[in-house]
Amino acid sequence: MPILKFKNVQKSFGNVKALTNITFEVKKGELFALLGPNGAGKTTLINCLNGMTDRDHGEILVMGEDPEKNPNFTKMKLGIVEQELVFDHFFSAIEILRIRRGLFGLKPDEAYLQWILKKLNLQDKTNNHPMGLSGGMKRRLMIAKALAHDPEILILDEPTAGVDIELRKSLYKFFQELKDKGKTIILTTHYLEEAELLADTICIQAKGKTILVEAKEKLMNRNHGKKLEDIFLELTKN
Amino acid sequence: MNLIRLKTLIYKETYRFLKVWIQTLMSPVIVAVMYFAVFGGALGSEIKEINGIPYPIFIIPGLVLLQATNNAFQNPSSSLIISKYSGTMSDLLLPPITTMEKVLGFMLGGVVRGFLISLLIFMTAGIFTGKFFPDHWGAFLLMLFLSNGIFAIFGTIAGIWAKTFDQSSGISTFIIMPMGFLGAVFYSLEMLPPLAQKISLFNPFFYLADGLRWSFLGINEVDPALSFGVSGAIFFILFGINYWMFHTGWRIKL
Repeated sequence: MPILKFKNVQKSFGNVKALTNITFEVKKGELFALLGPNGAGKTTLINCLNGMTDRDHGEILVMGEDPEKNPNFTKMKLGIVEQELVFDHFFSAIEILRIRRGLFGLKPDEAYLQWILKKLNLQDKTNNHPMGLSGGMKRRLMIAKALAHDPEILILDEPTAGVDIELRKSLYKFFQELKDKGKTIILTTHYLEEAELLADTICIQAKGKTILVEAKEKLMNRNHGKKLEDIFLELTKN
Repeated sequence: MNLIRLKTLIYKETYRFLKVWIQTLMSPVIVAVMYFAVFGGALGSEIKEINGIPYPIFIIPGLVLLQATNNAFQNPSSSLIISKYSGTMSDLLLPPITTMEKVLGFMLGGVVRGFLISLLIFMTAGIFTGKFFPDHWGAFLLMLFLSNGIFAIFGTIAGIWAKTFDQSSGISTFIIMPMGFLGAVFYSLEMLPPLAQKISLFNPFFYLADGLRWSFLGINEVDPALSFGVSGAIFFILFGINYWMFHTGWRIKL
């Protein structure tokens, strides 16, 4: 059974079709790169998955359950790193994580939260408020927030935007470590070399439609010598 | 209902206002003391007593209500509008918080703020008047809960409805403030012309003020059962509306 399933998912905002018949599956434990130019509908699809937006038609299943019919189950399984850096600025980094964990109905687990902060190189910023953090630190705090309830599936919506190359590499290592622990990761990014390096499966969306879903190795072998960036540009320019 | 989720939501909604306590707690108390000094001091020399109660003491429950309910309203409304502006509405949508937990969490955050302000104003006024304790403890606590609860739910509804700070403060300025001042807070209904008396009976704030005054001072203008009945009915109607709003995600979901 796939851990995530999208079948003919459609969503419109007024006359604008944001998603048209999106169909694909994500396997447990894989890193699935969801790529597409701006306005491709990636964030809308993620919002349909997490309950921020209601889909118009189609089927979405998270570990066999529909997020609209059984939201309590599916929300516990999903950890979402949003694209925007959004924090309640009244609270410090550790308070933000404690609150997030509590809102998922889980008992406090200070050791686990400290472990996340350490893994994301934020152990010295525990009591700092978001306003006192750099852009890269805020981005990492967003990842920590999404992991606070230890979800099965981590959805990273452009997690490395604005992060310098050194930190980006440490994040790649961390994503790999999460994958090794059996977590499933969906990554949306505009850094295509990131997807080429990390992904098991590549999915390319454009104008609300899925135009390719393929195992990365197969895709790269089929297009021998070409970079993912070239393949992406060829597929999306039309 | 998950108690950890509810407790966390209440903690989030109370801790935020406690961090800025000068603005959220002291400011309304100072305003109430000013009203008390001006109305109680200046008018008190003209109006000696109302229904056998010295005027400065007569106005205490109304003064408490004016400040506490306004703050109980502000707590959830500003929290929700800040969430809309800053994008932190996802903190409410991504976790599996049930509709009931959302309604209770925001309401109780406002109620805690209203209760703390009420307590501070009653204590401060008591220093000047010597009247610290209510005549009917149970009714007093119930009416404080209903009053702050009504305005906290109203603030949640306003926070969900409003798209800007301006719209929310418009409700505060054009609905809550006139309703409060015209709710027989500083005067008895008997002091009004007959038509104004009848109009006042359609103001929900009048029943909150009269019910609280009866529980604190033992005097009333309408049957206390009517005051508690009207207040309870308003509480449950607003609760139902707020429940529907969170349940459907109206103006919250994208």
